[in-house]
Amino acid sequence: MAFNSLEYLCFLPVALLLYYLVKQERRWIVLSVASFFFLGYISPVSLIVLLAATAVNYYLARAIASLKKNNVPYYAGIIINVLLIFICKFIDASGREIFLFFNQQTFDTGRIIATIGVSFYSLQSIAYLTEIRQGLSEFERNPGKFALYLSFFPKLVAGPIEQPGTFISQISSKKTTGADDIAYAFQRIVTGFFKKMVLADRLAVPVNTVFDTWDGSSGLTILVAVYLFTLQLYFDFSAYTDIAIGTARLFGYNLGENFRLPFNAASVTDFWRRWHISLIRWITQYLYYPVVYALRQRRTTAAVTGILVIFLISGCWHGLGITFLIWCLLHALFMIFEYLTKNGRDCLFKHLPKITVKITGIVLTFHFVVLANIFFRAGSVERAWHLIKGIFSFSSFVPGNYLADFVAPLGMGGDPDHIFNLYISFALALLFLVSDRFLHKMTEARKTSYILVFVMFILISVFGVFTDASKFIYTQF
Amino acid sequence: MRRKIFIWLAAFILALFLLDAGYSFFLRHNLNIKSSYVFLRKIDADILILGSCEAQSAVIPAVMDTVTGKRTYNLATNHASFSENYLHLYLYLQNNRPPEKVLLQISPETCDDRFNFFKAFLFTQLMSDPEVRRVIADRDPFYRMLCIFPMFEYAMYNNYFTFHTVQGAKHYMNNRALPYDSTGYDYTELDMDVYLDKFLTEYPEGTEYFWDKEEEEYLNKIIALTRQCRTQLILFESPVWNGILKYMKNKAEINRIIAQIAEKNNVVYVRFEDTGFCGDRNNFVNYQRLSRGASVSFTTNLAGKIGE
Repeated sequence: MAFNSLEYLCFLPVALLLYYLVKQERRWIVLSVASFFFLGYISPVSLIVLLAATAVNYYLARAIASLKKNNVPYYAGIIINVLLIFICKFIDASGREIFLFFNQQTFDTGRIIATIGVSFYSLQSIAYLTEIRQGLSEFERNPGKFALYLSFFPKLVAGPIEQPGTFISQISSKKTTGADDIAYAFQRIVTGFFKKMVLADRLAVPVNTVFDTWDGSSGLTILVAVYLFTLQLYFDFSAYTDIAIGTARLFGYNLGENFRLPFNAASVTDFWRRWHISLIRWITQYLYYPVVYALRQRRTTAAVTGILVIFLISGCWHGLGITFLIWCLLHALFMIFEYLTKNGRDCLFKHLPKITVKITGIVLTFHFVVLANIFFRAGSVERAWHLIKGIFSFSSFVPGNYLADFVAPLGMGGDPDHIFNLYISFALALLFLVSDRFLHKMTEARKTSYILVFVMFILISVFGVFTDASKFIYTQF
Repeated sequence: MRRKIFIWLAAFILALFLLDAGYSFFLRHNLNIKSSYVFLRKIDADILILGSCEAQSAVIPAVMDTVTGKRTYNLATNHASFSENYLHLYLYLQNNRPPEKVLLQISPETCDDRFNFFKAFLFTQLMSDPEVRRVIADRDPFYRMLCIFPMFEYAMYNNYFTFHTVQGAKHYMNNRALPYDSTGYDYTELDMDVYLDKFLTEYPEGTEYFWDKEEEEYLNKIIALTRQCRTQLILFESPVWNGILKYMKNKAEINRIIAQIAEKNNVVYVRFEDTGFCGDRNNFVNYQRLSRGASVSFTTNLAGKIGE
C-alpha cells in the first residue's frame, strides 16, 4: 500500500493503536508484525524475499562476529546482497528476460515490482555486515530486532537508508513520545502529503505529456517541462522522506534526513551533499573511502576513480539502462571537473563578490542538474536527444501558437480550466520553493507551526490530486 | 498543548464547512455548468436535446429553431450515460415547464462505460436534492460515501471544482444572466486522424460494446419521466463514419435492443441511414462526431424528421 492510499490511512492508526497498547519492551514485535503485514499486503513475494534475505544476513552476521579472522562470510554476504539486487531488480516478472546493460530502461512508475524495497534493505544489510566486520557495530543477537532494522515499514520501500548502529540502538532503547513529538510528526506527514498531492502529482501532468507522448517542437515547452520534472522529482522523493520520518516519529523512532535544500547548492559536489543524502552517505562510506584508501598513494587518481565508482554504482542502482549510465556519467564528469579545477576557480573567484559567485554557482548547478535529469527521465536516448534538440533549436524555441503549442501540451488541453490548473501548478511550485528554506529551518529546529499545518491541509483539500494519484517515483528503485 | 491542538482542529473543521458551503454556493451559480444553469434559470425550451458529446456538437439549436419554429436547448454533455441524461432532465423539469419534445441521442457507446459514464461531480453542488443524492448513491456509491465528510466531495475532483467555483463566483458577482452559449451548444474542432489512430491502436480487431442493464433502467426512467410530463420522447441515432463500422462488431445488436425498447414503450426511434453522408470523411471530425458544416445538414435533417 502506498503512503498516499486509503489503505495506508486505515493501516497506520491501527498499527499505532496496537503499538501503544503493548508494554514498551514488546513494542518492537508489534512493529515488526506491522512491517511484515505492510509489505505482504503489497506483495507476498516481496515479503518472502525479505524474510529469506533477513535470515541469510542474520546468519552471515553471526558468522562474521564469531569468526573474526575469516573473511569468507563477509564476502559471501556482499556477493549475495549484490546478486539479490541484480536478480530481483533486473529480471522481469516472467523470470525469463534479463535487462542487459545497454537496454533502455523505461521510466515507469506504474510498473509492478515483484520485490519491493530490495535495493534499500540490501544496502542496509551490506552496511550492517561491514560494520560488524570493522567492529563499529555489535552483532544483534535477537533475529526479530535485526529483522525490524531491515523491514521497518516507513523506510522499507524508498528509504532513507539507515546506518545500522543508529537504528538498531533505537529498537531496544526506551522511547518517550510526547505531545511535541506527535505534533512534529504530524507536521512532517502533512508536509509530505502536501508535496506529493499538491505539487508532485500536479506537475506530473505536463511532465508526462512532454516526456512521453508529445511530438511538438516548441523548445520553450520542452524546457519548462524539463524544469518541472526536476521539481517534481524533488517534491515526490522529499515527500516520501517526510512521510517516512513523520511516521517513524509517531512510533518514537528517528530517521535521518535525505534532503537539505538541494537547489541551494552552488556546485554539483555540494548538490550531492544535499540530495538523497542517505544513499550518497552509504556509497561514500562503503565504496568511495575504500577506493580512495586503496589508491591513496596517488591522490588525484584516487579521487577521480572514487568519483567514477560512486556514480557508476549509483547509476546502476537506479537502473541498468543507458539513460541512467549517461545521467550518472554526466554528474561524475562534472564533479571530476570541479575537483580538478577547484584551486584555479578559487583563485579566479576570490576577486569577485561572494554573493555573485554563490548565485552564479546556484544557477549553473541547477541548470546542470536539470539537463542531466533529461536522461534520468526520458524513456530512451532517442527521446532524450529529441528533447535536447528541441530546447536548443532556436528557430522553433518560441511556441508558434501559445495555446496549442505551450498551454495544451503542458495543461492536458487548452480549455480555460486547463489553463487555470496549469498556472495554479506553477504558482504553487514557486511558492513552495520560495518557502522551502523556512520549512527546512522548522525541520532542523523540530518546530511545529500549527498555522503551516492548517494552511497545507486546506491547500490539499483545494488543490490536491486525489484521483489518478501516481505512485512515488523512488518506489520503482 | 492539548488546548492548542483542539483549537486548531476545530478551526480546520470549521474551515472545511465554510469551504464546502462556498464551493456549493458558487458552483450552483456557475451558469456554464448545465446542471446548475437549468436549475437556476428559466429556459422553458420547446425542444430539449439529450445525449453525449455527439449530440452536444451535432445538434445546433439555432438551426433546429429555424426549421421547427420552436425554441431548442441542447442539454447533452460529454461522455454522458443514460443516468446522467436522466438527472439533467430531472433537474431541468424542477425549474422549467416540460418541453414539447425531448430528443435523446443514442449510440452503441451510450451504455459502455469505456466511453460514457455517470459523472457524479456534475451534480455535487445540487446534492441537497434527494433525487440527486439517490442517483449518485446508485451510480457512484463510493463517492457518495465520501461526501459525508465536509469538503471531501469537492476535494476528490478539485481539478474540476476549484476552477468552476472561481468562475461561479465571477458569474455571481457580475450578476451574469447567461452562460457562454445560452443554447447549450458546444462544438470542438478535432483531428480525425488522431482519434482514428487512438481507436485502432486500442482496438485493432474492433470491439464489442457493452449494454449495461443498470443504465437501461435509467433509459426507462427517462421514458417514464417524459410520459409523466406528457412530453414526446424521440430517440435518435447519431451518424457514424462508414469506415469504422467494421470495427463496431455488435452495433446491429445494440441498435436492435434500442429498437425493441422503443417499440415496447411506443417511442419513436429515428435512424440515420444516409450512407452517402456517412461515407464522406469530410463530414466528420472523429469517427462519430460531425464537422460544423455537416452538423448543420444533420440538424436540418433531424428537425425535418421529428416534424413528420
